[in-house]
This record gives sequence, structure tokens and C-alpha cells, in this order.
Amino acid sequence: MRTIAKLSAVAAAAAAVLAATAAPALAQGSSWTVLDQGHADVLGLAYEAGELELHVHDEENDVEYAPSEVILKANNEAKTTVPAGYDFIGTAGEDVWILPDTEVEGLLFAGWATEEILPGDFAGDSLQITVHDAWGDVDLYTVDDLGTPNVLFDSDAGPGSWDVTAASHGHLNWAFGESGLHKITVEAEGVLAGTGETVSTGEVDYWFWVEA
Amino acid sequence: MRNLAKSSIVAGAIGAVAALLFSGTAQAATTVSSGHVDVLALAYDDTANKLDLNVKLYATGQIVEPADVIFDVHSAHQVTQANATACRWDAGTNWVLPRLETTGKIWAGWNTEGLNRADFGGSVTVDLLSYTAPTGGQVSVYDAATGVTRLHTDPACDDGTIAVSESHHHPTWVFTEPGTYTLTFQLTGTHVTDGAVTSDPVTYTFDVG
Repeated sequence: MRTIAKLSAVAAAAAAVLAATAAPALAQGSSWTVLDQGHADVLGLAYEAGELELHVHDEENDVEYAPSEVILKANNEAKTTVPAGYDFIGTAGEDVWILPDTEVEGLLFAGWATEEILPGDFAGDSLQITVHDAWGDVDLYTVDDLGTPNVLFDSDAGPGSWDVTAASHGHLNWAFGESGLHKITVEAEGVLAGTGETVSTGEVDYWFWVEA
Repeated sequence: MRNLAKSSIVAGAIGAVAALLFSGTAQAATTVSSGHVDVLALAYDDTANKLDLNVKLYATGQIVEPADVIFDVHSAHQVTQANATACRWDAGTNWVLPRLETTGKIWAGWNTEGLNRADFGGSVTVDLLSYTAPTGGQVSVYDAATGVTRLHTDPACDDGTIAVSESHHHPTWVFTEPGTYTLTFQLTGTHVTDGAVTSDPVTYTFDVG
């Protein structure tokens, strides 16, 4: 229900900028940047001055943003149909918007990065990314070299987590079952190697705009 | 010219290492054993009306001649499969360049950054002219997410060409046996104003296992 109300509000808006008024928590008087193509490390982790942070790194222009400063846009070229064997996304043949884990011209190539996490800072050089919640039907997954999907987050199944290694980088598929605005709530955490203390980013909201 | 000369030497030499020794010392061989590399960095020289195949090394930002590169598909690339999959994997040990960037492994892709694909009707074609492989060895290049075979050395699996329609792409590469593989490619395309254009044949060397 919540989802439908929000999506309706969005549908009435002409563009992502207008959508800002439908999500006042974002605004704070600042302007947003829309990222809609090229390589962006959306889930960019950094540990600096005792703080674990999530940011968005636009690799095309080498600019770093706070997640609250950007709208991550799936252009309508991302619209496709659910492939057979991907039941976690939906019924084969249904509409779905997918930002893929390999670069496709004209689409956002959205990945994660831990290049600002120094080896040795975290126990086992391992951190965990958790997606707590998403508006609408959102699935995050990778596909291995045999073509088998590995689901990282399925909004129908509750929170989803995956481990990432320090000083690394990777990509995943972002599947959206509907157009419109989607908030995705993410947290990253890890255990400090020196003290055994767990540090977290807290819950951080990301905003995706899926073009109809 | 340069590429043709190199190919001739390769054809007449015992192996790729010998070819490198005899091809002069202007450029030392580069060994690629991990990280992001576009194996097929495709380019068009408008003045010469020639296509070209290069290798783009992201670690250094260099674009180099394929003949000057050895791809070291070392043991970290080994993947063992219980069962064979037709036109993909053998049962037992295979050597795999994964489609997604993986620490310690080669992340092998292609790009068309050196040409305007729109001038070529949206795509250019990489032809596998010839190859050498260890006994029983096959090379499979495919998109795991869509199930599409992009290239296979077995004619029963593929027509031996890659239609490259992407600006930048990373498939999965599988080698089924250890040993040295050489793949000789030629890039072809139809230019909107200049008609049919090709590259010289270019040989790539993969040292597997």
C-alpha cells in the first residue's frame, strides 16, 4: 500500500526534480545530481577518522557525493522482461527495469567499492553490506559464470546482506519491478581488527528514479 | 605492415616466446596475470582507412600491441566442474576468466572506444582466422547472464566471429585444457562512407595453467 501511494505521487510528477517535493526528507535546500549513465560506485565504502561511511563515486567525472545528494536514474533503456529462471524477480515475461552488472552504453553501471578501506583495518579484511528495505519490488543479485543468479537482496524476502573484501570493487544487477521513485536503505558494517569493535554507517537512504 | 610482419614471424616460429625474441627489442613483452584488461580494444584509423586490434591495460592506462602481450591464465583461474556443459565447460578442471572483476584474476573484456560504431552500422566483427590450442583444448567466450555464445573455437558451437555492438563489455572466457593457446583475429566492418574495411591479422597468446 505504502508503495502504491508513493509511486502514484511520483507518477504525477514530471521529473526527478519535481519528485523531490514528494520526498521532503531529502531536500534540505540542497540541489541534487542525477546520475543516469556510466560507471558509478554507488555503494562506496570509506573508513576515515574512525567513521565508516557510504558515498557515491561518479567514476566518469571522478566526483564523490553523499548518497543524499544524488538521484540514481535507471533510463527507460533499462526496461526489459523478466528472463526465464529468475523467479525471484517475477514471472518470466513481466516488465522489469534492470541496471546490469556489466557496462551497457546509456545505462548506469552501478557497483560497490571498498577501495578506501585499507587492508588490515577490519577483521578478516571483510565488511558487510546490508540492504534493509526498499520501496516497491527491488531485487539485487549477481550472476556467476555458469549463469546462475545469486540473490543479495529481494524486497519480498526482507533484508539481505553480502560480504565484501577491503580494497576491492564489484558490480551487481539492480532490478526494479516498477517505474518511479524507489528509496533503498543500506547499512555497511565491519569489525575493527585492532579493537574488535563493530563500526557501522547506520542506515543510509539511496534514491533511485526508474524511468517509465 | 607491422602487424603482418609479426604474424609472419609467428607463423614460422616455434612458438610465441620465440617470436618475441626475434621480433626485436623495441618493446618488451607485457605479461597480464590479473586486473582489468580489454583484450580486444577495437579502433579505426580514418586516414589510413584501416581497423586495428589493440590491448588496453587499465593498470597503467597503456594501449599496446597484442603481439607484445602474454595473458598468463595461472592456477588461480582454475575452476573444477563435476559435469561438462556443451559449448561451455569440460568436466574436471577449466581455466576461467570471470565476467565480473575478481581479485587476483584477469578481468578480460573488449571495447570500441577507438571507433564510432554508428559509422559501422552499430557493430564491427572480430573474425577468428585461426587458432592453436593444446590437445583437446577449446576456448569458449560467452555471456552468462543471457546465455549467448560470443565465440567458440569449436565450429559446432559458434561461427567463429564476435559481433561487437558494445562500447565496453566483459564476457566469461573459458579454456578447457592447460597449455599455450594462440588466437589470430581480424577485425572487419562496413564503414558508412568508405565501405568494407579490415585490420591486419593479429595474434594473441594465452598461457594457460
